[in-house]
Amino acid sequence: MLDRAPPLDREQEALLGLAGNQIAGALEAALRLEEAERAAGEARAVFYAIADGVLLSDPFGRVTAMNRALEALTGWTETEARGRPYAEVLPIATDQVGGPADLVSRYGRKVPVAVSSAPIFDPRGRVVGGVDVIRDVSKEREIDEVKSALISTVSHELRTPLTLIHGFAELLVLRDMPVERQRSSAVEILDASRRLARLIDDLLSVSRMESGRLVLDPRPLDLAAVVERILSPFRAMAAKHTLRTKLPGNLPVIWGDPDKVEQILTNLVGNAIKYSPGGGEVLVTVDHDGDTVQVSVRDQGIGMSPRDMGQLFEKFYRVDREEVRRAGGTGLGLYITKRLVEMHGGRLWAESWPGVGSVFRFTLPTSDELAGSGR
Amino acid sequence: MKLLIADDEPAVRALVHVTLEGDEYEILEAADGVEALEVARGEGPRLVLLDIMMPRLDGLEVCRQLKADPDTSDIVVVMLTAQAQDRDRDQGLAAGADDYFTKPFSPLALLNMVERVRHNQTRAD
Repeated sequence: MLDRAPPLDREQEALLGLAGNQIAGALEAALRLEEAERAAGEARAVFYAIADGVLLSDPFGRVTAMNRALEALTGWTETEARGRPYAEVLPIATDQVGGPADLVSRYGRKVPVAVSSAPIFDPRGRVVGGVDVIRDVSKEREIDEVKSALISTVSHELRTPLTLIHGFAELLVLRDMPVERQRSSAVEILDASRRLARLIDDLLSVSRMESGRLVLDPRPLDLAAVVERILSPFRAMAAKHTLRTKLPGNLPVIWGDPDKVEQILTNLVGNAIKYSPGGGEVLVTVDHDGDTVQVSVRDQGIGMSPRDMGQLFEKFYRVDREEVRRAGGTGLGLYITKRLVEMHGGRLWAESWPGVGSVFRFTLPTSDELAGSGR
Repeated sequence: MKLLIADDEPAVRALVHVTLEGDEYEILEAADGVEALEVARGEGPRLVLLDIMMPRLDGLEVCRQLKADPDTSDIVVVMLTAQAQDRDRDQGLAAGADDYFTKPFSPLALLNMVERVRHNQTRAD
C-alpha cells in the first residue's frame, strides 16, 4: 500500500494543468448551453401561452411555428400549417388598406383582427424570418358598434325636441300670429325643453348606472308611506284618472334607497297615466309574501301586444305606436326602472292586454330578509 | 296646393302646419311610412315632406317607391332628416329625393322651398 502518491514530474504537471483548463472550459460551455436552453424553453412557453395569435415564418413566407391562440383563430393545427405558405394559413380580408381587417378561418368563419408584423434578424443583420401577431378584436369592434349606434340614437333623440324649439321660436320671432297661436307655440317650446331636460337626466342616470357610480343608500323603509307620498302630486294633476291604493296593514319594513324607490314608483305610476289617455283607474297594490314585498301598478290604458312587449325594458326602445309617440318619452324610463329594482335585489316584469291595460309588478326584499342574509 | 307631411312626431307635423298655414295649402298628414304611401297614392299631393326614421316603413323606402311608380314619380319629395351625416343625405338623394332639410330646420326656409315648388307648378300649368 502506498502512503502517498509519487510526486509528478514536470511533464505530468503540465498535462494535468491543460486537462484542468479543458474541463473548466467544457463545464462553462455546458452551463452556457443549459442557460440558453432554459431561455429557449421560456421563450417557447411564452410563445405558446400568449393570448394573441403568433405566427413565425421563414424568409420564403412558409410557416415555421404558430401558437395555440392562432390555432384556435385559424382552425389550423401547427403541425398541419408548418411548411405551408403563410397566406394560406392566415388569409386576411380587408375592404381598404389600413381599414378593419377580418381573418377568414379554415372553416370560413370571419374574425375581426388587428395584425402587427416584424422581420426577424440574425446577429449579422440578415432577415431569417418574420413574426406576425394577430389579435382578435371582436369585443372592441362590438363595443365600437354599440357606441356609434348609441350616439346616433341620442343625436336623433336630441334633434327632435331641438327642431321644435328652433321651429316654433323662429315662427314666434319672425311671424305675425294670432295670440292663441303664439300661446300654443310657446307651449310646444316648453314641452320640447322639458323633454330635452328629461332626456339628459335619463342619459346621466344610465351612464352612472352602467359605470357603477350609482350606488344605493339603503335603509329601512315604510313602503305604504312612500306610495302615498308619490301619489299625491299625481292626484293633484290627474283630472281623468282615479288613483287608488290597496295597502295591507301589516306590511313588513322593506330595505331600500328612499329616493330610488320613489323614482321606481313615480316612473311606473307616470307611465300608467301616460299610457291611458282615456283616463280610468290606476291601482297600486302592495302584497307581502314571506320575505318579499310585491308592488303592482295596474292601469286601464292602451295596453301592449306580446310583440310590443318584446324589448320593453331595453334602452331607447319605444313601442311603435302613434299613441306612444304622442305621449313623448325618452325610451329610457323602463330600462332605468328595471335596473333600479334589480340593484335592490328585486325583479320587475309586466303583463298586458291590448285595449284593456297593463300591470307592472316588482318585488323588493324586506329588511328581515337582508338582515338574515348577513348584510 | 296639396302637400303631405309624414313624420312620426305629432309636434313636428304641427310645426309644419303652423308654418304653412294659409289658403294656399291643403296639408295632409301621415304618422308612418305605410300611411305616407297610402295618402300619397290616394290624394296625389304636389309635394311630400318625408321624415327618414319612421315606424313600419322608413322615409327612404317611401321615397324609392314613390319615384318608381309612374303615377307618383312627379311628386316633389323633400326629406326631413334628423341625421346630419353626409351619408344620410347621399342616401336620400340616391333614393330619388329632390331636396332635403336637416333637423333642426328653419321653418321659413321650408316655407320658401314650398313656395318655390308652388310657383313652378303655377308656371307649368
